[in-house]
Amino acid sequence: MSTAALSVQHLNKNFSSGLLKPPKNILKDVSFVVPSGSITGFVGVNGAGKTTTIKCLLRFIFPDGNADSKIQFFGESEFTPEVKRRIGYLPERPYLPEQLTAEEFLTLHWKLGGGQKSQMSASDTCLKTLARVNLLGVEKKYLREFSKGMLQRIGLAQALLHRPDLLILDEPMSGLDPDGRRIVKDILKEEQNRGATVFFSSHLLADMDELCSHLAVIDKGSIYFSGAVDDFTRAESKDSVVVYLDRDKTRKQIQVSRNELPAKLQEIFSQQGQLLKVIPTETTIESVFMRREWTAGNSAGRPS
Amino acid sequence: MILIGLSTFRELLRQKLVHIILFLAGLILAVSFMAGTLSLGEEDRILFHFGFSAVQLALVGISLFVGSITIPREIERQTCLIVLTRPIDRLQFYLGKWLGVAAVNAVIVVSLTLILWFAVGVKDSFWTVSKVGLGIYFESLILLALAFWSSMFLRSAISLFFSMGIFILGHWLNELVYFAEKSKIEINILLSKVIHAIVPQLYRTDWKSFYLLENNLISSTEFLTVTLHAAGWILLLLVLGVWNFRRKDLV
Repeated sequence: MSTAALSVQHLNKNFSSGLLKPPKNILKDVSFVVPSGSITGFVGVNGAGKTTTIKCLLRFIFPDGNADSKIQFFGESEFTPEVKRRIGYLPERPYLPEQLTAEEFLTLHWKLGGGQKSQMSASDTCLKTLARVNLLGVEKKYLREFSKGMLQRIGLAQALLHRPDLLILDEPMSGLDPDGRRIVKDILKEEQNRGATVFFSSHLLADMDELCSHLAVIDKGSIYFSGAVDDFTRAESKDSVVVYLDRDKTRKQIQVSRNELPAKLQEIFSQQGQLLKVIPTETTIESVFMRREWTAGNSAGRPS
Repeated sequence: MILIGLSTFRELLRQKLVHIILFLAGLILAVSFMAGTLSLGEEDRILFHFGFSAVQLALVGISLFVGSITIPREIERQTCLIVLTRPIDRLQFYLGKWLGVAAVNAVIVVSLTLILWFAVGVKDSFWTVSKVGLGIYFESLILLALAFWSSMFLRSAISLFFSMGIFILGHWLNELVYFAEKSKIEINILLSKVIHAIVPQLYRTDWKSFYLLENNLISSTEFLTVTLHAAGWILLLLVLGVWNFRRKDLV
């Protein structure tokens, strides 16, 4: 994980909201890093700026042109065709061309990505990729006949077609049933094992806990945290549950903060109590996320 | 660009909107055969006029309706996003889409012109007849480029009405200048001349009546002039459209 697959520095975006109204500041000095080989989650509430950030990264939306703003893929600042070839992307709620069959759709993307130069044939690759997302047997079906979950999976299939070095997925688990989510999670792990980097946004924080090694948290257009998941949760992992018997042999259980723990233990022993166990409270991304007071750019509360 | 064009072509041939437009054109074509038999000694003229009106309806309809929604729908549904993450430029995407619709129009104009050519008993060379069809095709390409471009900065419905307005104006330019001169008001005359200069002169591509009334005389000079006029407008509108699309935030 020496170089970053994606590095974003000082990204800003304002949207005009009418002639007489001031522009809306949607992204404010967004900076984060996606280390190579990692699975990095992009977390934020609705309207926090996740999709806008992803669209800026892929140049669908042009960031404001401040001099220190920089988006680098694999260390390259230019978004060249060579860089694009190394990226697989799935948009949020993909509406795919309804008049094409699954096979026609994947073949088109296979060819657009320069697949003809590869030794694999288009149909072999399409079938293999369809099998990965558990959609074998629907290759002749029109996309308009697909359910929401199937569209999500065929969208993921097109992102995987060229074995990209970096997968950028906007809400890949949205609209999927538990089986579908399991398939997607397995694929993301397989991709990481293959050596690819995965950067995905999701509202499903339990999935982030399961998959992510790194995290970027955005709130109201500002990055609140960027780094390893352990760093995010450790800073919050302050509480422990202390179970003990007091002088009268009555079982008691109290929650104390990490700072207060030595003094509390001292007190229990001094009062001839008997310590049974000290349990550090489990801290998940979700628990930290739900507990935090969300304030745009609240760097004071930022875990170190 | 060719891949996107082919895919667009394939998608359009499966779209209901195109089927409806083709059905209406087929209906007029059928009426033209009936109307032709009802007239005495004017069968060919009626057949041609109605027949090529059907071709014009199909091509103009597709250019305006499909042209004004193609790119906005791609943006709204985000279908263009996954294509643009592939190693292709926005220019290739835009032109590919335009070529796809243009190809559908080409298939329609060629097939309907062939039907009309056979219907009048293959009296003239196919080239003579097809000049009329080409005129309509040129017009459709201008309108298609116009609808594509205007949909870059207008909502689809407004882009449709704008392009429709230019279509009507483009056919009435001579009348506009004529009535302005009749009014003998300087500002009217000047304004009509400015409009004549800045709006595509679509009336020049309309050879439906010319073909029979003028005894097949669409001169090479006239044909070449109209071709260049159309090519100039198509090129200008495509350049403007690509310029807008390359700068557009695909929100």
